[in-house]
Amino acid sequence: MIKKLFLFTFIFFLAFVNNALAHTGLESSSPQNGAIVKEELQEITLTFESKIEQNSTFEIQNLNGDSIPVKNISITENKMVGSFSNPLENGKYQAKWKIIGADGHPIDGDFSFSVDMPVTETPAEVQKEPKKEDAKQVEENKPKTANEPKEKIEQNKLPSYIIPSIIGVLIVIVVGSFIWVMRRKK
Amino acid sequence: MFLIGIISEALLYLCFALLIGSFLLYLVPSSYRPNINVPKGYLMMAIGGIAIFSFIPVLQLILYLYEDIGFAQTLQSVLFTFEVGKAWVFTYIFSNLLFILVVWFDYRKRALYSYIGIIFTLILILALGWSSHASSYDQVKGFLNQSAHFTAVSVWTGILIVVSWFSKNHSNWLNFLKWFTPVAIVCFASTIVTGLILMTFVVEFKDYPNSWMIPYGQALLFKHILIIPLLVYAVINSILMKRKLEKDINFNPKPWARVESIVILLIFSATAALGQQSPPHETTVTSEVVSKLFTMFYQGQFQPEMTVRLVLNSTSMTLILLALLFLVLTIFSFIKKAPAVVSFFMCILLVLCVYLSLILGLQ
Repeated sequence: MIKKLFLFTFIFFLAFVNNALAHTGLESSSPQNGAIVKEELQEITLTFESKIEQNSTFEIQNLNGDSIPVKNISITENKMVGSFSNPLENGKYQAKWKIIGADGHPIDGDFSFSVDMPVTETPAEVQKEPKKEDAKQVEENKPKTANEPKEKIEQNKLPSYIIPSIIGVLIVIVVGSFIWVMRRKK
Repeated sequence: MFLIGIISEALLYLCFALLIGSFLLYLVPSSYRPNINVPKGYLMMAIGGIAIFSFIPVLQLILYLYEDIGFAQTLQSVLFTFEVGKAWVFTYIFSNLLFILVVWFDYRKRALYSYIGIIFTLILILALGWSSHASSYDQVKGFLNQSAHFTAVSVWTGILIVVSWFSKNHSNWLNFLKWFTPVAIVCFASTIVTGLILMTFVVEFKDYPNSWMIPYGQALLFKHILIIPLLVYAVINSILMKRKLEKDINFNPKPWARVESIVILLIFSATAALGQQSPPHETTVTSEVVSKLFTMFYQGQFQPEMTVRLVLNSTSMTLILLALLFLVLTIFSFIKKAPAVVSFFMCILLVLCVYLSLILGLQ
Protein backbone atom coordinates (compact mmCIF):
# COMPACT_ATOMS: atom_id res chain seq x y z
CA MET A 1 0.00 0.00 0.00
CA ILE A 2 2.71 2.43 0.98
CA LYS A 3 4.67 1.76 -2.19
CA LYS A 4 1.59 2.56 -4.24
CA LEU A 5 1.05 5.77 -2.34
CA PHE A 6 4.59 6.85 -3.01
CA LEU A 7 4.15 6.06 -6.65
CA PHE A 8 1.13 8.32 -6.61
CA THR A 9 3.06 11.06 -4.94
CA PHE A 10 5.72 10.72 -7.57
CA ILE A 11 3.21 10.93 -10.41
CA PHE A 12 1.84 14.01 -8.73
CA PHE A 13 5.31 15.57 -8.73
CA LEU A 14 5.57 14.90 -12.44
CA ALA A 15 2.29 16.65 -13.09
CA PHE A 16 3.98 19.92 -12.29
CA VAL A 17 6.93 19.57 -14.58
CA ASN A 18 6.34 22.47 -16.77
CA ASN A 19 9.49 24.25 -17.60
CA ALA A 20 8.66 27.67 -18.85
CA LEU A 21 10.91 30.52 -17.96
CA ALA A 22 9.85 33.77 -19.49
CA HIS A 23 8.72 36.37 -17.06
CA THR A 24 8.53 40.09 -16.99
CA GLY A 25 9.65 41.56 -13.75
CA LEU A 26 10.50 44.72 -15.64
CA GLU A 27 8.39 47.69 -14.65
CA SER A 28 9.75 50.25 -17.07
CA SER A 29 12.90 51.03 -18.96
CA SER A 30 14.57 53.98 -20.57
CA PRO A 31 14.42 53.78 -23.54
CA GLN A 32 11.19 51.91 -23.49
CA ASN A 33 10.40 48.81 -25.46
CA GLY A 34 9.91 49.70 -29.11
CA ALA A 35 11.10 53.28 -28.69
CA ILE A 36 12.96 55.08 -31.46
CA VAL A 37 15.60 57.26 -29.89
CA LYS A 38 16.46 60.39 -31.87
CA GLU A 39 19.18 61.65 -29.59
CA GLU A 40 22.44 60.18 -28.59
CA LEU A 41 22.03 57.29 -26.21
CA GLN A 42 24.69 56.58 -23.69
CA GLU A 43 22.86 55.18 -20.73
CA ILE A 44 20.16 52.63 -20.19
CA THR A 45 17.99 52.40 -17.09
CA LEU A 46 15.87 49.44 -16.18
CA THR A 47 13.36 49.70 -13.36
CA PHE A 48 12.00 46.49 -11.86
CA GLU A 49 8.98 45.71 -9.76
CA SER A 50 10.89 44.79 -6.62
CA LYS A 51 14.40 44.77 -5.21
CA ILE A 52 17.01 43.01 -7.34
CA GLU A 53 20.28 41.39 -6.24
CA GLN A 54 23.81 42.46 -7.15
CA ASN A 55 24.62 39.89 -9.83
CA SER A 56 21.78 41.10 -12.00
CA THR A 57 22.96 42.17 -15.41
CA PHE A 58 21.94 43.10 -18.92
CA GLU A 59 23.51 43.22 -22.33
CA ILE A 60 22.83 45.06 -25.53
CA GLN A 61 22.99 43.41 -28.92
CA ASN A 62 22.73 44.96 -32.34
CA LEU A 63 20.94 43.35 -35.26
CA ASN A 64 23.94 41.20 -36.15
CA GLY A 65 23.94 39.73 -32.69
CA ASP A 66 27.18 41.45 -31.66
CA SER A 67 26.99 42.64 -28.12
CA ILE A 68 27.94 46.16 -27.27
CA PRO A 69 29.95 46.32 -24.05
CA VAL A 70 28.03 47.87 -21.19
CA LYS A 71 30.19 49.36 -18.51
CA ASN A 72 29.49 50.32 -14.93
CA ILE A 73 26.27 48.45 -14.36
CA SER A 74 25.09 49.82 -11.05
CA ILE A 75 22.24 48.42 -9.04
CA THR A 76 20.33 50.26 -6.37
CA GLU A 77 17.23 48.63 -4.92
CA ASN A 78 15.04 48.05 -7.98
CA LYS A 79 17.00 50.08 -10.54
CA MET A 80 19.75 48.91 -12.84
CA VAL A 81 21.73 51.51 -14.78
CA GLY A 82 24.42 50.82 -17.36
CA SER A 83 26.32 53.10 -19.72
CA PHE A 84 28.39 52.87 -22.88
CA SER A 85 31.77 54.37 -23.53
CA ASN A 86 30.52 55.71 -26.85
CA PRO A 87 26.97 56.67 -27.76
CA LEU A 88 25.14 53.95 -29.66
CA GLU A 89 25.22 54.16 -33.44
CA ASN A 90 22.08 54.24 -35.49
CA GLY A 91 20.34 50.90 -35.74
CA LYS A 92 18.17 48.46 -33.95
CA TYR A 93 19.16 47.06 -30.60
CA GLN A 94 17.96 44.40 -28.27
CA ALA A 95 18.47 44.61 -24.52
CA LYS A 96 18.56 41.28 -22.70
CA TRP A 97 18.30 41.37 -18.95
CA LYS A 98 18.92 38.70 -16.36
CA ILE A 99 18.05 39.59 -12.80
CA ILE A 100 17.78 37.92 -9.45
CA GLY A 101 14.89 38.88 -7.21
CA ALA A 102 15.39 39.20 -3.45
CA ASP A 103 13.82 35.78 -3.00
CA GLY A 104 16.53 34.33 -5.23
CA HIS A 105 14.36 33.76 -8.27
CA PRO A 106 16.14 34.39 -11.54
CA ILE A 107 14.02 36.26 -14.02
CA ASP A 108 15.03 37.18 -17.54
CA GLY A 109 13.54 39.00 -20.46
CA ASP A 110 14.34 41.39 -23.22
CA PHE A 111 13.13 44.50 -24.97
CA SER A 112 14.22 46.27 -28.10
CA PHE A 113 14.61 49.83 -29.28
CA SER A 114 16.30 51.62 -32.11
CA VAL A 115 18.53 54.64 -32.38
CA ASP A 116 17.86 57.00 -35.25
CA MET A 117 19.91 60.17 -34.90
CA PRO A 118 20.14 62.82 -37.63
CA VAL A 119 23.43 61.97 -39.34
CA THR A 120 24.84 65.48 -39.68
CA GLU A 121 24.98 66.16 -35.99
CA THR A 122 28.35 65.52 -34.40
CA PRO A 123 28.14 63.68 -31.16
CA ALA A 124 28.79 65.84 -28.13
CA GLU A 125 31.84 65.38 -25.95
CA VAL A 126 31.73 62.16 -24.02
CA GLN A 127 30.64 63.13 -20.55
CA LYS A 128 32.13 61.65 -17.49
CA GLU A 129 28.84 61.51 -15.67
CA PRO A 130 26.21 60.34 -18.08
CA LYS A 131 23.02 62.26 -17.80
CA LYS A 132 19.79 60.50 -17.34
CA GLU A 133 17.71 62.48 -19.72
CA ASP A 134 19.91 61.60 -22.66
CA ALA A 135 17.42 59.14 -23.91
CA LYS A 136 14.18 60.70 -24.93
CA GLN A 137 11.54 58.52 -26.31
CA VAL A 138 9.89 59.99 -29.30
CA GLU A 139 7.60 57.18 -30.03
CA GLU A 140 6.13 55.01 -27.36
CA ASN A 141 4.93 51.64 -28.26
CA LYS A 142 3.39 49.14 -25.94
CA PRO A 143 5.28 49.60 -22.71
CA LYS A 144 5.77 46.15 -21.34
CA THR A 145 5.46 42.87 -23.08
CA ALA A 146 8.38 41.99 -25.22
CA ASN A 147 6.96 39.02 -26.99
CA GLU A 148 4.00 40.00 -29.00
CA PRO A 149 1.30 37.56 -29.95
CA LYS A 150 1.90 37.09 -33.60
CA GLU A 151 1.90 33.45 -34.33
CA LYS A 152 -1.17 31.31 -33.79
CA ILE A 153 -0.65 29.23 -30.71
CA GLU A 154 -0.91 25.58 -31.37
CA GLN A 155 -2.76 24.05 -28.50
CA ASN A 156 -2.34 20.47 -27.45
CA LYS A 157 -6.09 20.11 -27.38
CA LEU A 158 -7.77 16.98 -26.17
CA PRO A 159 -10.13 15.28 -28.60
CA SER A 160 -13.72 16.26 -27.84
CA TYR A 161 -14.77 12.81 -26.66
CA ILE A 162 -12.20 12.72 -23.85
CA ILE A 163 -14.05 14.83 -21.29
CA PRO A 164 -17.39 12.97 -21.61
CA SER A 165 -15.54 9.65 -21.38
CA ILE A 166 -13.71 10.80 -18.26
CA ILE A 167 -17.03 11.74 -16.71
CA GLY A 168 -18.51 8.40 -17.79
CA VAL A 169 -15.64 6.48 -16.20
CA LEU A 170 -15.95 8.55 -13.02
CA ILE A 171 -19.67 7.75 -12.79
CA VAL A 172 -18.92 4.04 -13.21
CA ILE A 173 -16.31 4.26 -10.46
CA VAL A 174 -18.73 6.07 -8.14
CA VAL A 175 -21.51 3.52 -8.68
CA GLY A 176 -19.11 0.57 -8.47
CA SER A 177 -17.51 1.79 -5.27
CA PHE A 178 -20.86 2.52 -3.66
CA ILE A 179 -21.99 -1.02 -4.31
CA TRP A 180 -18.66 -2.42 -3.13
CA VAL A 181 -18.59 -0.35 0.04
CA MET A 182 -22.23 -0.95 0.95
CA ARG A 183 -21.85 -4.69 0.54
CA ARG A 184 -19.06 -4.86 3.11
CA LYS A 185 -20.35 -6.10 6.37
CA LYS A 186 -19.84 -3.73 9.21
CA MET B 1 16.89 20.54 -12.11
CA PHE B 2 13.33 21.76 -11.95
CA LEU B 3 12.10 18.41 -10.65
CA ILE B 4 14.97 18.23 -8.18
CA GLY B 5 13.94 21.67 -7.00
CA ILE B 6 10.38 20.54 -6.27
CA ILE B 7 11.33 17.27 -4.60
CA SER B 8 14.01 18.84 -2.42
CA GLU B 9 11.65 21.62 -1.37
CA ALA B 10 8.89 19.17 -0.41
CA LEU B 11 11.44 17.07 1.50
CA LEU B 12 12.63 20.22 3.25
CA TYR B 13 9.12 20.82 4.60
CA LEU B 14 8.98 17.17 5.64
CA CYS B 15 12.28 17.50 7.54
CA PHE B 16 11.00 20.49 9.48
CA ALA B 17 7.74 18.71 10.29
CA LEU B 18 9.63 15.64 11.50
CA LEU B 19 11.85 17.68 13.80
CA ILE B 20 9.11 19.79 15.34
CA GLY B 21 6.76 16.82 15.61
CA SER B 22 9.32 14.62 17.35
CA PHE B 23 10.47 17.24 19.83
CA LEU B 24 6.87 18.18 20.68
CA LEU B 25 5.69 14.61 21.13
CA TYR B 26 8.56 13.80 23.48
CA LEU B 27 7.40 16.70 25.64
CA VAL B 28 3.92 15.22 25.97
CA PRO B 29 3.46 12.93 29.01
CA SER B 30 3.53 9.34 27.79
CA SER B 31 -0.03 8.65 28.96
CA TYR B 32 -1.28 11.26 26.49
CA ARG B 33 0.31 9.80 23.40
CA PRO B 34 0.91 6.44 21.80
CA ASN B 35 4.23 4.83 22.53
CA ILE B 36 6.55 6.41 20.01
CA ASN B 37 10.14 5.86 19.05
CA VAL B 38 11.85 8.28 16.72
CA PRO B 39 15.37 6.90 16.26
CA LYS B 40 18.16 9.45 16.52
CA GLY B 41 19.25 8.57 13.00
CA TYR B 42 16.02 9.91 11.54
CA LEU B 43 16.34 13.25 13.28
CA MET B 44 19.98 13.47 12.24
CA MET B 45 18.91 12.81 8.68
CA ALA B 46 16.18 15.44 8.94
CA ILE B 47 18.66 18.03 10.18
CA GLY B 48 21.13 17.11 7.44
CA GLY B 49 18.21 17.34 5.04
CA ILE B 50 17.48 20.90 6.12
CA ALA B 51 21.07 21.93 5.46
CA ILE B 52 21.18 20.21 2.07
CA PHE B 53 17.69 20.80 0.71
CA SER B 54 17.68 24.47 1.63
CA PHE B 55 20.91 24.78 -0.38
CA ILE B 56 19.24 23.57 -3.60
CA PRO B 57 17.61 26.95 -4.44
CA VAL B 58 20.95 28.65 -3.75
CA LEU B 59 22.69 26.14 -6.00
CA GLN B 60 20.11 26.72 -8.74
CA LEU B 61 20.84 30.39 -8.49
CA ILE B 62 24.61 29.85 -8.69
CA LEU B 63 24.26 27.56 -11.70
CA TYR B 64 22.13 30.20 -13.32
CA LEU B 65 24.69 32.93 -12.75
CA TYR B 66 28.10 31.31 -12.92
CA GLU B 67 28.55 31.58 -16.69
CA ASP B 68 29.02 35.31 -16.41
CA ILE B 69 31.67 35.58 -13.73
CA GLY B 70 32.79 32.05 -12.88
CA PHE B 71 31.75 29.53 -10.28
CA ALA B 72 33.91 30.43 -7.29
CA GLN B 73 33.18 34.11 -7.50
CA THR B 74 29.48 33.50 -7.98
CA LEU B 75 29.42 31.18 -4.98
CA GLN B 76 31.07 33.83 -2.87
CA SER B 77 28.84 36.65 -4.00
CA VAL B 78 25.64 34.63 -3.66
CA LEU B 79 26.49 33.31 -0.20
CA PHE B 80 27.57 36.61 1.23
CA THR B 81 25.58 39.31 -0.50
CA PHE B 82 22.28 37.72 -1.61
CA GLU B 83 19.43 37.47 0.88
CA VAL B 84 18.92 33.79 0.05
CA GLY B 85 22.64 33.11 0.38
CA LYS B 86 22.98 34.83 3.73
CA ALA B 87 19.88 33.03 4.98
CA TRP B 88 21.38 29.70 3.92
CA VAL B 89 24.73 30.33 5.64
CA PHE B 90 22.78 31.07 8.79
CA THR B 91 20.66 27.94 8.30
CA TYR B 92 23.78 25.85 7.76
CA ILE B 93 25.43 27.03 10.97
CA PHE B 94 22.31 26.52 13.05
CA SER B 95 21.52 23.12 11.60
CA ASN B 96 25.06 22.04 12.52
CA LEU B 97 24.50 23.21 16.09
CA LEU B 98 21.20 21.35 16.22
CA PHE B 99 22.88 18.25 14.80
CA ILE B 100 25.46 18.32 17.58
CA LEU B 101 22.68 18.80 20.13
CA VAL B 102 20.79 15.77 18.87
CA VAL B 103 23.93 13.62 18.73
CA TRP B 104 25.22 14.51 22.19
CA PHE B 105 22.05 14.92 24.21
CA ASP B 106 19.20 12.46 24.18
CA TYR B 107 15.94 14.31 23.56
CA ARG B 108 14.10 11.13 24.54
CA LYS B 109 15.42 11.33 28.09
CA ARG B 110 15.15 14.96 29.15
CA ALA B 111 12.48 17.49 28.29
CA LEU B 112 15.02 20.34 28.34
CA TYR B 113 16.77 18.97 25.23
CA SER B 114 13.46 18.84 23.38
CA TYR B 115 12.77 22.47 24.34
CA ILE B 116 16.19 23.53 23.03
CA GLY B 117 15.55 21.48 19.90
CA ILE B 118 12.27 23.28 19.31
CA ILE B 119 13.89 26.69 19.75
CA PHE B 120 16.61 25.82 17.24
CA THR B 121 14.08 24.52 14.75
CA LEU B 122 12.04 27.71 15.12
CA ILE B 123 15.17 29.78 14.44
CA LEU B 124 15.71 27.75 11.27
CA ILE B 125 12.10 28.41 10.24
CA LEU B 126 12.70 32.15 10.71
CA ALA B 127 15.78 31.95 8.48
CA LEU B 128 13.71 30.25 5.80
CA GLY B 129 11.01 32.90 6.16
CA TRP B 130 13.64 35.59 5.72
CA SER B 131 14.62 34.40 2.26
CA SER B 132 11.05 33.66 1.24
CA HIS B 133 9.19 35.10 -1.66
CA ALA B 134 6.76 36.97 0.55
CA SER B 135 9.43 38.84 2.48
CA SER B 136 10.95 40.11 -0.76
CA TYR B 137 7.72 42.04 -1.25
CA ASP B 138 7.00 43.16 2.24
CA GLN B 139 9.95 42.77 4.56
CA VAL B 140 8.06 42.72 7.84
CA LYS B 141 4.55 41.52 7.02
CA GLY B 142 5.75 38.94 4.53
CA PHE B 143 8.44 37.60 6.84
CA LEU B 144 6.13 37.30 9.86
CA ASN B 145 3.31 35.71 7.91
CA GLN B 146 5.56 33.27 6.12
CA SER B 147 7.18 32.18 9.38
CA ALA B 148 3.84 31.88 11.19
CA HIS B 149 2.39 29.90 8.29
CA PHE B 150 5.34 27.53 8.25
CA THR B 151 5.37 27.10 12.02
CA ALA B 152 1.66 26.32 12.23
CA VAL B 153 1.93 23.78 9.42
CA SER B 154 5.03 22.15 10.88
CA VAL B 155 3.52 21.78 14.36
CA TRP B 156 0.30 20.25 13.13
CA THR B 157 1.63 18.02 10.36
CA GLY B 158 4.76 17.15 12.31
CA ILE B 159 2.81 15.67 15.19
CA LEU B 160 0.55 13.83 12.77
CA ILE B 161 3.40 12.41 10.70
CA VAL B 162 5.43 11.28 13.72
CA VAL B 163 2.43 9.73 15.46
CA SER B 164 1.29 7.88 12.35
CA TRP B 165 4.66 6.57 11.17
CA PHE B 166 6.72 6.27 14.35
CA SER B 167 4.27 4.98 16.95
CA LYS B 168 4.77 1.39 18.05
CA ASN B 169 1.12 0.80 18.89
CA HIS B 170 -2.06 2.79 19.20
CA SER B 171 -2.37 2.83 22.97
CA ASN B 172 -3.70 6.06 24.49
CA TRP B 173 -4.99 7.17 21.09
CA LEU B 174 -8.16 8.62 22.64
CA ASN B 175 -6.11 10.57 25.15
CA PHE B 176 -3.93 11.76 22.30
CA LEU B 177 -6.95 12.96 20.30
CA LYS B 178 -8.18 14.94 23.31
CA TRP B 179 -5.34 17.41 23.05
CA PHE B 180 -4.36 16.98 19.41
CA THR B 181 -7.78 17.89 17.97
CA PRO B 182 -7.82 21.41 19.47
CA VAL B 183 -4.15 21.90 18.59
CA ALA B 184 -4.85 20.86 15.01
CA ILE B 185 -7.83 23.20 14.76
CA VAL B 186 -5.82 26.18 16.03
CA CYS B 187 -2.94 25.37 13.69
CA PHE B 188 -5.24 24.85 10.74
CA ALA B 189 -7.04 28.14 11.35
CA SER B 190 -3.77 30.06 11.60
CA THR B 191 -2.47 28.31 8.50
CA ILE B 192 -5.53 29.38 6.52
CA VAL B 193 -5.41 32.99 7.74
CA THR B 194 -1.67 33.45 7.16
CA GLY B 195 -1.94 31.54 3.89
CA LEU B 196 -4.61 33.88 2.57
CA ILE B 197 -2.55 36.90 3.59
CA LEU B 198 0.48 35.44 1.80
CA MET B 199 -1.67 34.81 -1.23
CA THR B 200 -2.62 38.47 -1.43
CA PHE B 201 1.07 39.23 -2.07
CA VAL B 202 0.98 37.30 -5.31
CA VAL B 203 -2.60 37.06 -6.57
CA GLU B 204 -5.51 39.41 -6.20
CA PHE B 205 -8.61 37.48 -5.32
CA LYS B 206 -10.53 38.69 -8.33
CA ASP B 207 -7.66 37.56 -10.55
CA TYR B 208 -7.53 34.12 -9.01
CA PRO B 209 -9.14 32.25 -11.94
CA ASN B 210 -6.85 34.13 -14.32
CA SER B 211 -3.82 32.89 -12.45
CA TRP B 212 -4.82 29.32 -13.31
CA MET B 213 -3.47 29.90 -16.80
CA ILE B 214 0.12 29.85 -15.62
CA PRO B 215 1.95 27.01 -13.84
CA TYR B 216 2.02 28.99 -10.58
CA GLY B 217 -1.74 29.29 -10.54
CA GLN B 218 -2.16 25.64 -11.41
CA ALA B 219 0.00 24.62 -8.47
CA LEU B 220 -1.87 27.00 -6.19
CA LEU B 221 -5.20 25.62 -7.41
CA PHE B 222 -4.07 22.04 -6.73
CA LYS B 223 -2.90 23.09 -3.29
CA HIS B 224 -6.27 24.59 -2.50
CA ILE B 225 -8.24 21.64 -3.85
CA LEU B 226 -6.08 19.25 -1.83
CA ILE B 227 -7.24 21.02 1.32
CA ILE B 228 -10.69 19.41 0.78
CA PRO B 229 -9.51 15.78 1.27
CA LEU B 230 -7.26 17.02 4.06
CA LEU B 231 -10.31 18.41 5.87
CA VAL B 232 -12.22 15.19 5.21
CA TYR B 233 -9.42 13.19 6.81
CA ALA B 234 -9.18 15.68 9.64
CA VAL B 235 -12.86 15.01 10.40
CA ILE B 236 -12.39 11.25 10.04
CA ASN B 237 -9.30 11.21 12.21
CA SER B 238 -10.78 13.32 14.97
CA ILE B 239 -14.55 13.09 15.43
CA LEU B 240 -15.30 9.83 13.62
CA MET B 241 -12.19 8.12 14.94
CA LYS B 242 -13.09 9.06 18.49
CA ARG B 243 -16.50 7.42 18.15
CA LYS B 244 -15.08 4.34 16.50
CA LEU B 245 -12.43 3.89 19.18
CA GLU B 246 -14.97 4.35 21.95
CA LYS B 247 -16.93 1.46 20.45
CA ASP B 248 -14.01 -0.70 19.50
CA ILE B 249 -10.72 -0.05 21.25
CA ASN B 250 -8.92 -2.51 18.99
CA PHE B 251 -9.60 -0.54 15.84
CA ASN B 252 -6.28 0.56 14.38
CA PRO B 253 -6.29 4.31 13.63
CA LYS B 254 -2.74 4.40 12.27
CA PRO B 255 -3.46 3.66 8.57
CA TRP B 256 -5.95 6.54 8.53
CA ALA B 257 -3.52 8.94 10.12
CA ARG B 258 -0.94 7.77 7.56
CA VAL B 259 -3.27 8.50 4.66
CA GLU B 260 -3.81 11.98 6.05
CA SER B 261 -0.05 12.44 6.21
CA ILE B 262 0.21 11.36 2.56
CA VAL B 263 -2.33 14.04 1.63
CA ILE B 264 -0.14 16.48 3.54
CA LEU B 265 2.85 15.30 1.52
CA LEU B 266 0.88 16.06 -1.65
CA ILE B 267 0.14 19.55 -0.36
CA PHE B 268 3.84 19.98 0.42
CA SER B 269 4.61 19.03 -3.19
CA ALA B 270 2.09 21.50 -4.57
CA THR B 271 3.61 24.19 -2.34
CA ALA B 272 7.09 23.24 -3.49
CA ALA B 273 5.95 23.50 -7.11
CA LEU B 274 4.66 26.98 -6.31
CA GLY B 275 8.08 27.99 -5.06
CA GLN B 276 9.67 27.03 -8.37
CA GLN B 277 7.40 29.20 -10.50
CA SER B 278 7.23 32.88 -10.92
CA PRO B 279 4.07 34.35 -9.43
CA PRO B 280 1.26 35.85 -11.51
CA HIS B 281 2.04 39.53 -11.04
CA GLU B 282 5.55 39.01 -12.42
CA THR B 283 4.20 37.11 -15.36
CA THR B 284 2.43 38.15 -18.48
CA VAL B 285 0.44 35.26 -19.83
CA THR B 286 2.05 34.51 -23.16
CA SER B 287 2.03 31.34 -25.18
CA GLU B 288 5.41 30.46 -23.70
CA VAL B 289 4.43 30.66 -20.06
CA VAL B 290 0.92 29.28 -20.25
CA SER B 291 0.49 26.06 -18.32
CA LYS B 292 0.28 22.96 -20.51
CA LEU B 293 -2.27 21.44 -18.15
CA PHE B 294 -4.41 24.50 -18.60
CA THR B 295 -4.36 24.49 -22.41
CA MET B 296 -5.06 20.77 -22.40
CA PHE B 297 -8.35 21.11 -20.56
CA TYR B 298 -9.44 24.63 -21.35
CA GLN B 299 -12.39 24.57 -23.72
CA GLY B 300 -11.81 27.78 -25.62
CA GLN B 301 -8.91 28.88 -27.77
CA PHE B 302 -6.01 30.23 -25.76
CA GLN B 303 -4.97 33.78 -26.59
CA PRO B 304 -2.04 35.55 -24.98
CA GLU B 305 -3.03 38.05 -22.29
CA MET B 306 -6.60 36.86 -22.26
CA THR B 307 -8.67 36.75 -19.10
CA VAL B 308 -11.08 34.09 -18.01
CA ARG B 309 -13.92 33.87 -15.56
CA LEU B 310 -15.66 31.04 -13.85
CA VAL B 311 -19.09 30.18 -15.22
CA LEU B 312 -20.46 26.89 -14.03
CA ASN B 313 -21.92 24.92 -16.93
CA SER B 314 -23.55 21.51 -16.97
CA THR B 315 -20.24 19.66 -17.32
CA SER B 316 -18.74 21.32 -14.29
CA MET B 317 -21.93 20.87 -12.29
CA THR B 318 -21.84 17.15 -13.06
CA LEU B 319 -18.24 16.99 -11.95
CA ILE B 320 -19.00 18.87 -8.73
CA LEU B 321 -21.77 16.37 -8.03
CA LEU B 322 -19.34 13.52 -8.67
CA ALA B 323 -16.84 15.19 -6.36
CA LEU B 324 -19.48 15.30 -3.62
CA LEU B 325 -20.20 11.60 -4.16
CA PHE B 326 -16.50 10.80 -3.87
CA LEU B 327 -16.42 12.79 -0.65
CA VAL B 328 -19.31 10.75 0.72
CA LEU B 329 -17.56 7.58 -0.46
CA THR B 330 -14.37 8.56 1.38
CA ILE B 331 -16.27 8.87 4.63
CA PHE B 332 -18.32 5.73 3.92
CA SER B 333 -15.26 3.64 3.30
CA PHE B 334 -14.09 4.65 6.77
CA ILE B 335 -17.42 3.83 8.42
CA LYS B 336 -17.57 0.49 6.61
CA LYS B 337 -13.96 -0.25 7.61
CA ALA B 338 -12.69 -0.52 4.06
CA PRO B 339 -8.91 -0.35 3.69
CA ALA B 340 -7.57 3.16 4.06
CA VAL B 341 -5.99 3.00 0.62
CA VAL B 342 -9.47 2.72 -0.95
CA SER B 343 -10.50 6.00 0.60
CA PHE B 344 -7.24 7.51 -0.59
CA PHE B 345 -8.18 6.65 -4.17
CA MET B 346 -11.60 8.21 -3.60
CA CYS B 347 -9.87 11.36 -2.42
CA ILE B 348 -7.63 11.51 -5.45
CA LEU B 349 -10.69 11.19 -7.69
CA LEU B 350 -12.40 13.88 -5.62
CA VAL B 351 -9.49 16.23 -6.29
CA LEU B 352 -9.56 15.34 -9.98
CA CYS B 353 -13.30 16.07 -10.20
CA VAL B 354 -13.04 19.44 -8.51
CA TYR B 355 -10.05 20.36 -10.68
CA LEU B 356 -11.77 19.40 -13.94
CA SER B 357 -14.96 21.08 -12.85
CA LEU B 358 -13.18 24.38 -12.27
CA ILE B 359 -11.03 24.28 -15.40
CA LEU B 360 -13.93 23.21 -17.63
CA GLY B 361 -16.07 25.93 -16.10
CA LEU B 362 -13.75 28.69 -17.36
CA GLN B 363 -14.85 30.97 -20.13
